[in-house]
Amino acid sequence: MRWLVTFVIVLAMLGPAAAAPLQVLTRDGGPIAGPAIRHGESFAQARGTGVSVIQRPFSGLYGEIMIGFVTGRETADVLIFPAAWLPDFAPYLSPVPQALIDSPLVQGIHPAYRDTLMRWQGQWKAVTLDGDLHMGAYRRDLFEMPEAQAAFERAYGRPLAPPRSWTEYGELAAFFRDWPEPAGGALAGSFEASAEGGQRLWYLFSHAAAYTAHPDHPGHFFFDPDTMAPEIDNPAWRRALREYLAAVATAEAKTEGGSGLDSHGVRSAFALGGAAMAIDWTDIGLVATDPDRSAITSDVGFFVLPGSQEVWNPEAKRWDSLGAPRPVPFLAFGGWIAAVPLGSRNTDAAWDFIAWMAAPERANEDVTDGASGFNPYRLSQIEDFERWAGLMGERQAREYLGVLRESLSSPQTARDLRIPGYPAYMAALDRWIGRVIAGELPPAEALAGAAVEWDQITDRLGRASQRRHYREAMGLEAQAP
Amino acid sequence: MRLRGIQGRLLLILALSSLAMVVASFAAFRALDEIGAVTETMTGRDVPAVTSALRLAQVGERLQQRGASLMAAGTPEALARAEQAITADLEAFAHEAAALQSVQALSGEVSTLSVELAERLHDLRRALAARSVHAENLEISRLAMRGQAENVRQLIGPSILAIEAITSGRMGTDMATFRIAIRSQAPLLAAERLTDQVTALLFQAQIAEDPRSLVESQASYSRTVAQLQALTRDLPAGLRSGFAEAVAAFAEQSGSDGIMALRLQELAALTEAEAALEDSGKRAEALKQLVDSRVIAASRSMAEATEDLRQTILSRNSQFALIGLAVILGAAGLSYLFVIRPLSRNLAAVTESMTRLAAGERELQVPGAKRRDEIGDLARAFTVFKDNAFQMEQLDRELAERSNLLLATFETMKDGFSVFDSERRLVAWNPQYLTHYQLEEADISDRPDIEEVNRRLAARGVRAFLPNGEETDMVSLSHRRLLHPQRHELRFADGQVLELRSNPIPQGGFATIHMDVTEQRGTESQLLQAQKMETVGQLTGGIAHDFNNILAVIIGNLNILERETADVPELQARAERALGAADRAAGLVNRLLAFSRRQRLAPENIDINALVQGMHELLETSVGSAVMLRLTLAEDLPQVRVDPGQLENALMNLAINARDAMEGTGEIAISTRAASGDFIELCVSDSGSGIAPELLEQVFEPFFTTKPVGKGSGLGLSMVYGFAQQSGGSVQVESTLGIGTKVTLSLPVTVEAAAPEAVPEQVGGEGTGDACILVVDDDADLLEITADQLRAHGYAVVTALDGATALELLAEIPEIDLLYTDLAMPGEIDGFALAREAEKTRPDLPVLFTSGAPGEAGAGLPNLLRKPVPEEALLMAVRLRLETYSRRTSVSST
Repeated sequence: MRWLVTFVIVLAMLGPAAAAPLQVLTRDGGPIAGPAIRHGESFAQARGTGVSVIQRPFSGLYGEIMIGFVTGRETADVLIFPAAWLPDFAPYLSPVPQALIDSPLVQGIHPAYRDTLMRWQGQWKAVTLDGDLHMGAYRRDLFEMPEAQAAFERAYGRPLAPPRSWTEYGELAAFFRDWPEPAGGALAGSFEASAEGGQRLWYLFSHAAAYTAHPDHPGHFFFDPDTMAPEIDNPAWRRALREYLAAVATAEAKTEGGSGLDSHGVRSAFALGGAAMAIDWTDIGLVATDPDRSAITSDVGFFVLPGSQEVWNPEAKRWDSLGAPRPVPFLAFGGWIAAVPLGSRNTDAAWDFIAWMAAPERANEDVTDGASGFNPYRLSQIEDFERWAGLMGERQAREYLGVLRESLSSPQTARDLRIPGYPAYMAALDRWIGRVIAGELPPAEALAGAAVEWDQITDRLGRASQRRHYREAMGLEAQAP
Repeated sequence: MRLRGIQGRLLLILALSSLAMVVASFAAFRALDEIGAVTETMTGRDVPAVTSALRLAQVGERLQQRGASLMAAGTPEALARAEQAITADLEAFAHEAAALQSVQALSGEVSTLSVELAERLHDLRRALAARSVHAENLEISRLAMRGQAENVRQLIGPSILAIEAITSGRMGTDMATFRIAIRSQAPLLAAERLTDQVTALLFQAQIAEDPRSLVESQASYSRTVAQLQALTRDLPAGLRSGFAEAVAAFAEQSGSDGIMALRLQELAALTEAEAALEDSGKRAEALKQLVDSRVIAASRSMAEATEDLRQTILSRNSQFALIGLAVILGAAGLSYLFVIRPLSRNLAAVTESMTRLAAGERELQVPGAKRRDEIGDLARAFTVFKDNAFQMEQLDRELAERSNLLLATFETMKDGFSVFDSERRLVAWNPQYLTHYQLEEADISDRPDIEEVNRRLAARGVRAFLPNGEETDMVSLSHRRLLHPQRHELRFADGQVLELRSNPIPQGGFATIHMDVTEQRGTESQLLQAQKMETVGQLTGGIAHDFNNILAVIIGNLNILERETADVPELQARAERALGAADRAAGLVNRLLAFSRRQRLAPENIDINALVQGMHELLETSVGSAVMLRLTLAEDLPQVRVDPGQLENALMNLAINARDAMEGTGEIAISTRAASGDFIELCVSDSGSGIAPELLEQVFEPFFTTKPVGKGSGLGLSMVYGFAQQSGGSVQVESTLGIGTKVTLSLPVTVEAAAPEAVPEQVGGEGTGDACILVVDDDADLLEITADQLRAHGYAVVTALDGATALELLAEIPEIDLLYTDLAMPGEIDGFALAREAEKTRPDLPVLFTSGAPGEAGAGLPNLLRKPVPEEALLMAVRLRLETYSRRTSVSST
């Protein structure tokens, strides 16, 4: 079967007493599954327990796991899945062993990923393997080209520089859309994912994060934290959607006839020099500086997600102006985590494999491999400048790590939605956004339709409980101990 | 006081009225005493009884409502408040009942009923408290069950949504998974449905109105919980424990501590409370009726007492009113008969007299003047008033006539007139005042003070000067004008000059006469300028005369030196240079003479246009190529009579001045035109820098110049001035800084036919003389030089230093052939006198005059040589004179 690639490692010359191999279920493709396979191999060699990695398309992974839980026919011993699904899976998962929780392996994880992604309702249920956030990348060679600098200053009255706001980002994308690629051919203004099933929602969220982050009204990103009324149809989201679509449109010359890029396509196409800028997870830094995969190895710069000088005031229902554009980093998606279902046939071995895979010596390799799908999430990884400088050069490493540190430490960093029914909310919104991208609906109508569906989901799951979870997710209330 | 007067009569009437009022007051005191007794009875007995009964009724009515209040109290706090209110009302009821008992006997039934009512209200309170506790427990249980329902939704919700996503095909799963999903969703959906049902039944139980319907709900609830319990094993393993916990909590609600039992207890407490409420209502109603009967009895007693009191007051009021009316009528009748009627008649007569007086009737008699009362006084006073009025009218008429005369003078006087009051505000002015200051009535209608007037004048550039010409400031002047007579001038920017004469006025302030002396000051200024120029001219002429004598000596000596040093070329050259310098000095002296009008003119009738055109080329060369010279000459101009050489000289001076004023570039316009009074005007204007106004008066003065040092002698315009004056004309200069200067020469037109021009006699070449010449001059040096020059050419020369000596020599030496004399000499015999005396003895003696400054006396002399006389000219004139006389003698002798 095409999408099912089973990698079974059976220890050579396995004796008759050898244990059954561990079944690891995760998404398909090189990223995520690749490291699982690689570390499964080393685990089998070290422990004598084989590891079989079951791969499912990302769009079917959640259903596959959940149907296993509901029917009691769980096939996996280890699950590797997005952290945002943990609230839904929590009743079906076994707790993390206390020894593992207390170990340096867990304690060395950055608090932004450890304290929020690994627990649900006070119970440790998973171990994180990935630290996700969105960032911006740009082609330094284009930005430092004197002709481009002069033309941009003439057109916009300011020096050509990485964007501080989404408005500047849109102007830069429009400018480079019309700028000829030095090597010939068309140039995209910026790459953002827009393909169905290609994680496009998080690109929209990155735009919306800046416009909804009112300093006096925290927590109004996705819902009103007092009533759980959806905020996704307010003017901030409508503006974010319009600007996201405009940015995607600046890449039409490179994606013409296609269905848009997915997140993997964004970083690959940018590494080939197809666009002046791109928004993506931090994988893009490694891919764009990888000599084997990139044509712009030493010409890449990075920037924190742009912000906005104008923010939507959800109480007064008006736009308020801040003194200056304020960047709002976004911990998009959170990251990939590993957990063990209650129905695992070998729970101890399963946790042992997770600890093997998350061990710093292997995790450090993963996060510095652009193809792994894993990004830095341990404190030591972010502080290891020499390692990054060796990979991408000093200047690029300094800029890359600077963006990571600022994004993780900024007080206004936006968190992703993390409440029960998360996939249902995302699926509903993605469906409506898909109709906008297909040109079937205007943005405002689509967002209003999604908001109605979100209200229905909230009511079905219990509005009071959902409100409590949302406030915790937005940092308005302490998490359940 | 006159007893028969009006005042005496009125006092008598007042005394009678007062007596009547005293009698009536005694009656009123008696009546009030009676009313007080009745009122005392009412306030001591009836009012307290009614007040207590009414309060008792109010409390009873409140108690009737208290039961309902207790029932309506929804919270323990509200219940406690309602109970406190009941206790307070019961205490108030007991207090009022005791009060009523003290003034009116009450039956024991009231006390009994009030005690019973208190007991029933207490029962009601107790039942309601029990109900409140049950309701509170119910709410706690309700919230707990709602939480359990939420837990179930949280537990099963994500799984239901995931399966729905699969079954809806949105998740893109394979068919096997799809089928599994379809099969596995049934227990989850059933769990969701039954949880909603359980929640709804609990809600129904909480609002059940009676035990029967509650029992029915409980049965249904138990069945549903049993279904949930049975469903637990069909749910996914991961959800079972959480779901079982929730179902157990639901099951507990059917037990003795559950929502069903709590609601049953609450309904029982409610029933007990309703019974207590009904009972207390009945007792409260009975109590109210009892108290109402007490209120009615007390009110009736009170009404009877009030009616008695009203009757008493009414009868006494009627009596007092009748007495009062009688007193008033009596006093009014007496007043009419003895005061009002006679007073009215006499006042009417006086009024008629005043009316006639106002109508102008002078001869009238005032009636009643002989009466001995106040009317008589009034009539006599009116007679005096009438006489005074006649006098006042006469005075008023005279005053009006004088006032009109003064006003006419004030308004028609040529000078302005103003008055400022003690607060220094402008209070009066005449039309000429407005004209002098170019004001409108509206400008000063706000009566500005002197400071405001000064500010307005200062804004217009007006400056104040004292009579001695010293400038002063208007503010201090204003202070002085208040105290002392002041005289000063105001000079306006447009040249207007006002002389102000202020005098303080006794009431404070000052009056001022404003005289326009613009014309007078202009005339004075012109006169002063003319006098100055005349003085300068005289001074200049005198100096020129002396200089000419000195120059004559110098030039004479130099001529000798030049002649005598012919064999020493170096010395001769020096003598020639000295002669050249002396000649230039002589030229300057001639210009001075021209200014002082003592030069000798040779006036001719000339066509001024021809003269200007003839000079055109020379002028163009002189002013330079960068200056444009434009001629505008009027046609058909009459001839003027002037010395053409001097006019050319004047025109050239003016052109050169114009060129220098323009610093080499610009335009010079020369024009001629006829002017009034038989004059022709020759104008020279330039587009140069102009002359400052304060310097204009000085431009004609000798040696005054605005040119840089060494560039001008300062005599050009002086010469023009002297020439014009001497020619019977005038010269004016107009100039504006930055615009240019215009000089206008007015020259007289020829008034009589011109005499044929004398043709100079032709004289033969140079020769030596053999005649004897008497030379007379008071300057010994010049005398010597002149003698030497003549002797050098063969003439015999005798000399004299004054006229007397000359006459003696003429008498002694008959060989003298020619008299050559200076005109101006000290002593009684000047040159003219000498010539006249000589003619008496020697009529044939030819005479030659010489002078350094011939002036008007010498202007017409044909035989005058002006000092310094060049040697050649002297020899030529001597020879010509001798020959002319010789021919004349020869002709006469033939």
